[in-house]
Amino acid sequence: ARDLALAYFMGPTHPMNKAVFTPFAEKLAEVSGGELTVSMFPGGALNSSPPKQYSILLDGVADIAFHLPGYTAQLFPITTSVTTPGMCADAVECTEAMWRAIEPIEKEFDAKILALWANEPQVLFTKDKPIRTLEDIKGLVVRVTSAQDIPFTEALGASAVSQPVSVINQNLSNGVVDVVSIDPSAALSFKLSEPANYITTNVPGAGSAFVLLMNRALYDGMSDQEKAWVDEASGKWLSMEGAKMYRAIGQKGIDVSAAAGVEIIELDAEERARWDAAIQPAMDEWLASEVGQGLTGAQVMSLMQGTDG
Amino acid sequence: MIETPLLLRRLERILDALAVASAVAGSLALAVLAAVTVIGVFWRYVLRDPIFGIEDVATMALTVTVAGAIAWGSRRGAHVSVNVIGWAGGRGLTRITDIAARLVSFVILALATYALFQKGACGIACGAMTSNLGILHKPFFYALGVGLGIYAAVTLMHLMIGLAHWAGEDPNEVAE
Amino acid sequence: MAGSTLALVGFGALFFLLFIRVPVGLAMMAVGAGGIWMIRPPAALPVIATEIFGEAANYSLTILPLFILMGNLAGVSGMSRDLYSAAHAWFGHLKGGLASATIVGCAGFSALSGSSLAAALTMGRVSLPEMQRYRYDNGLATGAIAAGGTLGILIPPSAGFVVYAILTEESIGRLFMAGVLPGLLLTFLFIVAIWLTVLRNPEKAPQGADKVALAARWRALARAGWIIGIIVLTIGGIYAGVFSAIEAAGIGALLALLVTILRRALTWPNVKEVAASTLSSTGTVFLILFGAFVFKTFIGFTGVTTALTGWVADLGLTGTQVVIAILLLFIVLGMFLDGFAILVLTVPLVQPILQATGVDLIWFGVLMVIALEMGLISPPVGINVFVVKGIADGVPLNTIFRGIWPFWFAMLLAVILVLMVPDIALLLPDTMFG
Ligand code: NA
Ligand code: NA
Repeated sequence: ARDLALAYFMGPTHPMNKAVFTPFAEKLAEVSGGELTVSMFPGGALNSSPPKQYSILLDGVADIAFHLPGYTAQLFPITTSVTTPGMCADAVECTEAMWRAIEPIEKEFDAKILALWANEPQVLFTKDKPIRTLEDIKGLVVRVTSAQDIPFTEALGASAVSQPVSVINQNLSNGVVDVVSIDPSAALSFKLSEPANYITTNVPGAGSAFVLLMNRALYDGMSDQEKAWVDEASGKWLSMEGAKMYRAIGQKGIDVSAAAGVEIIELDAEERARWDAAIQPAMDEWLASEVGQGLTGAQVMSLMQGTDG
Repeated sequence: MIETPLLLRRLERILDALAVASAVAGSLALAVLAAVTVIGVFWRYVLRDPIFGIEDVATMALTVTVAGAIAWGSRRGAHVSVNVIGWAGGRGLTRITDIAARLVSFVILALATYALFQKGACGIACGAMTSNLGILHKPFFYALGVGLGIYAAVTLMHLMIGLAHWAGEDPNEVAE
Repeated sequence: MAGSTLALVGFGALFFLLFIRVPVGLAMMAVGAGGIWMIRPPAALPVIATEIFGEAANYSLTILPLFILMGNLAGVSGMSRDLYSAAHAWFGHLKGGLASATIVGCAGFSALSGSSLAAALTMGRVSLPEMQRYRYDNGLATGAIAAGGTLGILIPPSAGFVVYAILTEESIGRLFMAGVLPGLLLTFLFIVAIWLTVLRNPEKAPQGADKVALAARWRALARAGWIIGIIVLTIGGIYAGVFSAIEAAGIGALLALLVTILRRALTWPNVKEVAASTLSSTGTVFLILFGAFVFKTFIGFTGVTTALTGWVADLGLTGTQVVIAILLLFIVLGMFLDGFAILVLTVPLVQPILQATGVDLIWFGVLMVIALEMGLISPPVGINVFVVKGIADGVPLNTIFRGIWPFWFAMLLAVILVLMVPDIALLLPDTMFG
């Protein structure tokens, strides 16, 4: 019997434990008849810094680690392309999109991918300034989720800042930033529904990537039987569990906020078209750029959207 | 009064020079850190035009400040220890325990130095870059490696000076 | 070896290394790395490198060198002396007034400095000669300095709160705000302690300074305007949410630098002194943090916190009972160990227990810092007492330790009050960002 150490930096009550980590552990123990088991190290017990999770996996500090590729987007340019505006419409669709591109994505990770999923496209949380039209966001300071969002945010006429998620609640509350652009589940996980008075949805954006990885040397050193067990307990089905959970908590975030008196502003199709037009120059630039492995943005997009024939 | 052997005195001078160099590097990095923090506030509040990723510059400046501080602190006796034994036993006991303590300190510092250089060398493949501006961590890992390496050398020197002063007072003994 | 057993052995090894005077940070790093090596050999070295780099590049920790710098600039620019002079002018003529002025001066300086040692040293240098001139009892004089200095880690900014915030992932800004009212309360209790001491033994403060005319008092206060202005701007700025704690430290350092320049105190020797001592203090804290995080990772591997949390749950203790038990442990440990060492050793262990019993970690942080302050002045190992000994030539250590008891009991009373009325700590952070 072999016990594997699974590290994640959130607390054990985080929905991803219920949706992904525990189902993986249970399934692995089940299919292997207890030959392979998983010990959980939640709360960053093995390392509490979110950007460092990939690194501790490579070092063998953890056997399995949960990571956000967006923290080191330069290393995972194709994976993180999923967050490009218009790439996909919700967590489940964005997860499907990444699995269509699984071949180049696997090459980006020096590890075995156990699960790869996305959350909901970002929405805009504001305190004093309701954002109903393109003009409303001009000149505002926006906390963005990843560096890839910058050109699109600036194309809208806003200024982008980066800030650790731990301080966004406080910073929205005291006006350090005007807007927090993040997936709607943050209304719950970071209590953004408290400082925010408005949430604008249907803005250009797409989900962010999440990944559960196994140390490559460990996987390669396993017997064929053990590899088969790991493969059976992981993969696309597990990823979809994560995606469905993110879609559910994203919706819950909106519902809870609305119930707490936050005004939900959904851009209508006409207004959304104006936003899309505003970001088109930035979009054209991205589509023409080389993203990675010789693929242009346009090629990655058609691969992820399944339009490459 | 026992004389410290010439070779050790020379070593002491070299390490003193390295510690001062570390302090200069650390001070300059601290100046950068302070400037970056103030500039960041100014641009965001006064000009309403925040500088994206300025925290990345601040954190990398912090690594150099800390590297310099650790090395400089090792010569200033800044790295605190708990001196209960100084009350419990006399020099007869502490000259033995100090050898053990310095040996432990040297080994862990040498390992840490090695680990920092090894890990730093991995570079971009390990995702070792800042999240916003993509500044490579490598040189900053090395800076910390140098800082802890100087501390390791200082500890080793204190170990040897302690042995040379076995029969008398140790000039580097923890003071209160 | 089972995880919990290994953790126990680890603590044993740690106390042994501390006993033979291995620097606190290195002792934790050595035991942590050794323990990890026993559980997962390939992880040991990478953990050391990752944790060292992780803390040295931790954005929240940029606050430490910045406010250490601010405190040191306040010293060389003469702003700390102004503060004492103002307190002297207002309180010097009262019963035990010079000792009270020392406490007020320490409290004011604490609002610029995050370190208890710096507060005791800086204020001690100005106030001790005054108290000796008026033939104050040595025990009372040095006790007031040692105790007043401990306010440095309770009144924001505070290195203690920063390290606690980093370990528990609580907000530095909220912790700072939580320290304000308890800091003022403790300042007041210290003054009451002095007053009671002098009431019982009038010969301890045989004469007061001459009463200063009201106009002169205001002038003294005006001279302290710079330092008071910086304090109001930085602490007020955090409270009002105008800027984050880190930005406040940056702005505070800049303002202190400007005052230093204006007063023509930015001489080359002063620059060197400020740089040398800022780096020295920074090195002290970071080495301990490096060790603490390697050790914390080892504790994480052993799973002992889960076992402990389960054990406390089985005992059926309430949150308050757990807090009282932990505080008693801190007060005892504080007799022998450095405050930071206690903080970094115990917080990773007790945090899960506190969370499981629903204890507010901001409130606990304030209680813990006051308990650590008690350790700073209690025998046999009281770091602040040793610092005061360094500037009080000819005063025996025993005299200083005898002088601290009124203040030690004042701290105990402060702990009890904050325990009974959590709002003393929580009112400001809870109303912050209204
Ligand atoms: Na303070
Ligand atoms: Na003590």
